[in-house]
Amino acid sequence: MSKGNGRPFRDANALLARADRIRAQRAKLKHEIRICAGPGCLALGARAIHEEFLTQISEHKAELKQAGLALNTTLAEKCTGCHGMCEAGPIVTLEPEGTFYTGVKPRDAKKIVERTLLKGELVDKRLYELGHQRGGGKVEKYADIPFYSLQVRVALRNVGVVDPTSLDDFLAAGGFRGFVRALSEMTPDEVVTAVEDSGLRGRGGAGFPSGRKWRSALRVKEDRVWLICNGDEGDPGAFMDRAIMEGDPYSVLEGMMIAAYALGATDAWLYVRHEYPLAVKHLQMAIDTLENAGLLGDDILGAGMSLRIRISRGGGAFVCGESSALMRSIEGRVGEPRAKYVRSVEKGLYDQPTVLNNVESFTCVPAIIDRGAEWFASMGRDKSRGTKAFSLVGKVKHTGLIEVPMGRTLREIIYDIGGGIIDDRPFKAVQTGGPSGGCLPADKLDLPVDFDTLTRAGAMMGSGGMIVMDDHTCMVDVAKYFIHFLIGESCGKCVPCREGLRQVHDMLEKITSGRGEDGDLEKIERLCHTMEVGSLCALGKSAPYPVTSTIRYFRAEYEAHIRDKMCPAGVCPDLIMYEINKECTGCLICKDHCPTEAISGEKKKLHVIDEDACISCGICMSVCKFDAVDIKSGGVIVSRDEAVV
Amino acid sequence: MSPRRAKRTDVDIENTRALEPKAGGTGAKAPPSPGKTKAGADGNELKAVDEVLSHYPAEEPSLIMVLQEINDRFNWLPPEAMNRVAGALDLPLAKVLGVATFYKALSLEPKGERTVKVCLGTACHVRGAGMLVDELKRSLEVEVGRGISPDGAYSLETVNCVGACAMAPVVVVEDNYYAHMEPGNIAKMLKKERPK
Ligand SMILES: Cc1cc2nc3c(=O)[nH]c(=O)nc-3n(C[C@H](O)[C@H](O)[C@H](O)COP(=O)(O)O)c2cc1C
Ligand code: FES
Repeated sequence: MSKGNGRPFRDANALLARADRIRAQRAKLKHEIRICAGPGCLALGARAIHEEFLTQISEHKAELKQAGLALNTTLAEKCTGCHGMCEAGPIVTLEPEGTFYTGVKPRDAKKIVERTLLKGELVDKRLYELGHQRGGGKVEKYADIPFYSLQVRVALRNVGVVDPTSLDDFLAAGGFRGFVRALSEMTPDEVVTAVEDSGLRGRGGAGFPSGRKWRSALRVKEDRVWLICNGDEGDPGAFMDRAIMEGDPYSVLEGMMIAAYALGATDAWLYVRHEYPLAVKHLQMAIDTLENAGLLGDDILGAGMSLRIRISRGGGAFVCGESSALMRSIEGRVGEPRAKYVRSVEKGLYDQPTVLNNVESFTCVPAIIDRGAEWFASMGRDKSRGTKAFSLVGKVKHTGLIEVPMGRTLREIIYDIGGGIIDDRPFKAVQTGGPSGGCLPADKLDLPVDFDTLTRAGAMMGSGGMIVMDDHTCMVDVAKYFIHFLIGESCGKCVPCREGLRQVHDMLEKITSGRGEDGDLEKIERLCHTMEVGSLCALGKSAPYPVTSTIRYFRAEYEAHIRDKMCPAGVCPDLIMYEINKECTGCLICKDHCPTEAISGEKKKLHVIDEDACISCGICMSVCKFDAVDIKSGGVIVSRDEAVV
Repeated sequence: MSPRRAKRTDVDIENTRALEPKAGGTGAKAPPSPGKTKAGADGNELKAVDEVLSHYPAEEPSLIMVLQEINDRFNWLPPEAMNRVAGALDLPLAKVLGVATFYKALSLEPKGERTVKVCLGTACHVRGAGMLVDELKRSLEVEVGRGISPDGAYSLETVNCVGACAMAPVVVVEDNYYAHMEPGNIAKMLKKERPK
């Protein structure tokens, strides 16, 4: 469905002229309906909503025309990438006015067309409810919601704005201005200098200065340099890179093109996680369109530059996000990392010089070139410049995709943007950095979020997963979760990582199943230290962080598991029991559902759970309509607010 | 067995060491017949393998993509197919198996007609996804990534963040997303999804 013009652009001026023409056309639009088709909204049925809009528009064609709304001249509709506030999905916005409809159902399409488009009225029921923020009430425009107004979107600038399948849309949004500028006004050296001056640091995890990486590649005197974009997004709780690749594929490619120009690369790979078929599809469409438009291939825009970008679908292994393992994977081999003394800018893919950056890093580059290094560097804090995208998830009210300048505090992100904790429960911890990161407790809420501060606090910026936890989250269980995840993902090449993970897991399992002993924590800490210093790649080196950070900040919770055989959060199955309280009306529902027939009781009489037969599956609690099932641990009820430690 | 093989499962750590491919099911019962996927590749299916091979240059870098495409077609990698691939790309079978066991996207086991995928991303985990896995293992009588339910309908897998964290915990069956799942809703979901 690419709306390109079919002929290759002769030169940069032809491209810019086309962008101007489209913008002039777009200026005539009275309304544009944007349907969010990000992963969250798609799961909730965004496609059906889109189809219903198309049906309604064609059914109301005559009336719309009378109102001066004709499809594709004064009225437009499109599906975009993730708009951000997944909690409110499916989301439909109307531009240019910025009207924000949430929780939209297919049948609402009719109402929105008839009332909003034809009569200029709002569909109240689908407006966003502010809740307690800003005094409550309904809001019409998303720009008035703190979730949006407090963000600054650079990497996400087009996500949720453009139709990811349309080059024209991208051009209208200012796409390729950065590339044209680099190509026609800057030398490769100047591009690298701009990236250096911007202070951009890699968004994929380690935060290595991108400009410095590029500079060292320029110094390598070899004919061929490979360029790789890392779209493996291994953090199991994050979806920023996915949202960018699905929602704004052209910006990723533009970033790679600028890098290719600066580094003299003619061949590039985009390594995309295999679970992201839509990202692959949109990126491939974009690559094909650009090849036809003369923006990829030979003699790009008549400026003599050549570049070929290919996609490699990852095989679904976390370790393949690590740069050297990723290169092995592109070569068709098992994705095992290698020791870091060989630098990939010298010997990377096929042992040739290679520059690898993350999706979000590349996506920032066009904005830096277009708007200037000073602009980018003017945002942020200390050695962390610019903005960073996060997927803000877990027990937070406004789950979604956000981007803020570096240096905002955790509190601002979680409470002002995220709206606080679900059900206004107490905040317990926030996990950043995925399996290589750590958990920070409430007294760290005022820390500014930047690379170095987070690392010092024992967490990590990572790729941008931010998982909020409340008092019903068990920190020992979270640590075990990450270790468990990593056992499945360790490539098995080096012993400290492969065996260390197993041992740490066994000990955590021992603790969470009530067999913990004094001295276990010290053993775990020693083992973690060995892994940190002895592992071959960063997977093993950073694997202990979820454990060490939780021991550091939540030692009492570990000790409760070990000494009192109690899980204060009511999570660890071996340490909890279910118990029926006086609210029970004797409705028999839990009894009927119990898979082990552990519940006895008669109609209208208090039911009882047989502890020995109970397998802690939680079904009784989830089917009970009267809140009559409690979780008990160490003899205390832990599922209710008042009893929580 | 080399510890590297242990990569194949995700949830059941205890069992990761015993990973001999089984005919299907969980062992105790007679192996149920798998759904739309056959336990082996016959002549026709080998033709399909050849067709996949014809899309790629016969060289090592094609290996992962070839295996992915075969896996997409059959829902798993039949042993005959891997033999064929090894021959066509002129690689030792051990190399093909090495890659096939390393990457999660590739399955050495036949699957049920539908695959139930529980998101075990961090957001889903902290909202209780682990209980869903336990309940599904129990009610389907399968392990994660291993076995087919006795009625031949389901296999069970876990995935990482599917990008729908707002709906956590999420269970995905084919293209249907089940939001805010609880152990108590599993039975209803399975009933609804069961192939007719
Ligand atoms: C185990 C492991 C997994 C990683 N996974 C990813 C990933 O999924 N995506 C990513 O961009 N970087 C990942 N990285 C970081 C990369 O190795 C590399 O540093 C990064 O992609 C470089 O790009 P940047 O400088 O633009 O951040 C991972 C690193 C390790 C050690
Ligand atoms: S963690 Fe399950 S959808 Fe994101």
